[in-house]
Amino acid sequence: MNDDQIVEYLRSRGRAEPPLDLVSSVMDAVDRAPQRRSWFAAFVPALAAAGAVAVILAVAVLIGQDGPPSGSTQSPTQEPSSSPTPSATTTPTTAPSSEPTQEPFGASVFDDPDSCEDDSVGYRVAFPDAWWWNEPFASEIGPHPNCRYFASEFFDAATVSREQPIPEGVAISALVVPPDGGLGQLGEVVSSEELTVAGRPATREEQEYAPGGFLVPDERVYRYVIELSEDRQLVFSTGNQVGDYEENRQVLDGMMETLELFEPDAICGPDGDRFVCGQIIVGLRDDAGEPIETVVERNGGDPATDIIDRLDEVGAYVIAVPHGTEGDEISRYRLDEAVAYADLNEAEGELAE
Amino acid sequence: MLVERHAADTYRLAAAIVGPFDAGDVTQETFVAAWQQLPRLRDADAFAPWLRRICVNRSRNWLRGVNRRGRPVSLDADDGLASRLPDTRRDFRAAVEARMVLEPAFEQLSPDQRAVLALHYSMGLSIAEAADALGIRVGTAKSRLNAGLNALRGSVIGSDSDAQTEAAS
Repeated sequence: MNDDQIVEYLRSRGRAEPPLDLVSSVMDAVDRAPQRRSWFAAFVPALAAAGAVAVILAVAVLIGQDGPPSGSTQSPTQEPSSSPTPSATTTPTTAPSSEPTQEPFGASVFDDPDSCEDDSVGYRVAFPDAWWWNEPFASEIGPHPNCRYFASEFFDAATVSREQPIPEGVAISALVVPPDGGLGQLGEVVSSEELTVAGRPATREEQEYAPGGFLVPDERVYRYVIELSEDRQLVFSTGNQVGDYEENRQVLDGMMETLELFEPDAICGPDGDRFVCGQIIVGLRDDAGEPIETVVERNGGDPATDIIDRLDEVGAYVIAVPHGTEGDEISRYRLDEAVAYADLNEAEGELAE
Repeated sequence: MLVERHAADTYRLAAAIVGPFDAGDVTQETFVAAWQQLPRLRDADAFAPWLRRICVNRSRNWLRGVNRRGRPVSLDADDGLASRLPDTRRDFRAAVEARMVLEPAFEQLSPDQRAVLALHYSMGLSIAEAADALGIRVGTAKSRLNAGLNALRGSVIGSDSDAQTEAAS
């Protein structure tokens, strides 16, 4: 017996004929799977499987703010604010127009507009004054920057959990993701259009449920994918699972007409050869335990989703969490958590072996 | 749609790593995991390699679970097929004989070795693509590939010497 026969044997292993009922059995298994969620699940920062990193990122973001501690929730307030500042209020806020003598931002689109900003990404958007939006808050799955969730009815940030990554009742959400296709195909694309939003190339598309896809029956998703830069996309989405779908679409269309982009704030940044707050470092090790790659993610209101992907798929772990000019104690505490997380990964590896 | 398009390839990859007996279960696990992890998919065009990576991970986990639970006795219908083959079909017979020798040896490989052999030889991926699917360096993939092949070669040598001994006696 020679190498050719070995290779031929290995090739033959890839020619197995699937059973006739494979597709139906897979679809049945997917239908039976727990945590079947609506389209909101597709827009969650990819943090649920990497809780430690989520916490780290939350801390990193909060270091530069006077934000609330993780998990804090309060009742909505009526704050007159056209450019919200971080505060202890974590639930949505609606505000009366505060500058009657000056045409409010978005007045050309909405009869009675309000607006908010996300400084971490660098956008400002208008929406109907009667709608609610969120101020920054932290949950168990990570930080939620200002101006990410919108709804015509009150929604409660306290409803966020790993299973419900976006507050219940949110009709429109925003998320920043790495490039190339936004969040992928969820169902069947009903329409897709190239356009310009805030001076950037964008795609507006609608998808609907299709068997074997990832939407629930009768579900529809309507979203804008805006190219922020070579490595970031801003995705505003709505759907027919919350509120009135047509109203949601009209509001989202109007929001996109008013969207403005600006240079985001850098909460922290490089400091010589130190990594300061707002960054995490994730190391990948090979079988021999040798470092093979180090990825650094800076700032941003959104978590380092690509790193989270790697954590999950490669079995990598956080090897360092930098501390910044502020909040060293907190960062060091979180570093302990990161180390514990790494230990857990390694322990699982040992078990697996 | 997605399931219909990718189920067969996923099944074949799973079968190449864990064997056809368990491939169906691994395929189901793969799609369930993909469905649950969909938020992490950022590029629709990357769905296939992403799904492949999940399948590889699920297959390795499956094998590790099998190792802990104990490996079931193979009831593969092809086992023993060689004895029913007509002598005129030498190539096929040789392939089946090779399989009878190599199958147990393959099952002795580590899940990581199985995965890289399956990706490279069974699924036709380049070593770089296999390394990417496994989330390892190309050098590591080559190392595992060589180790796996050497293990299979070792089983063949052992088998040949056994056969020679048997023939001599």
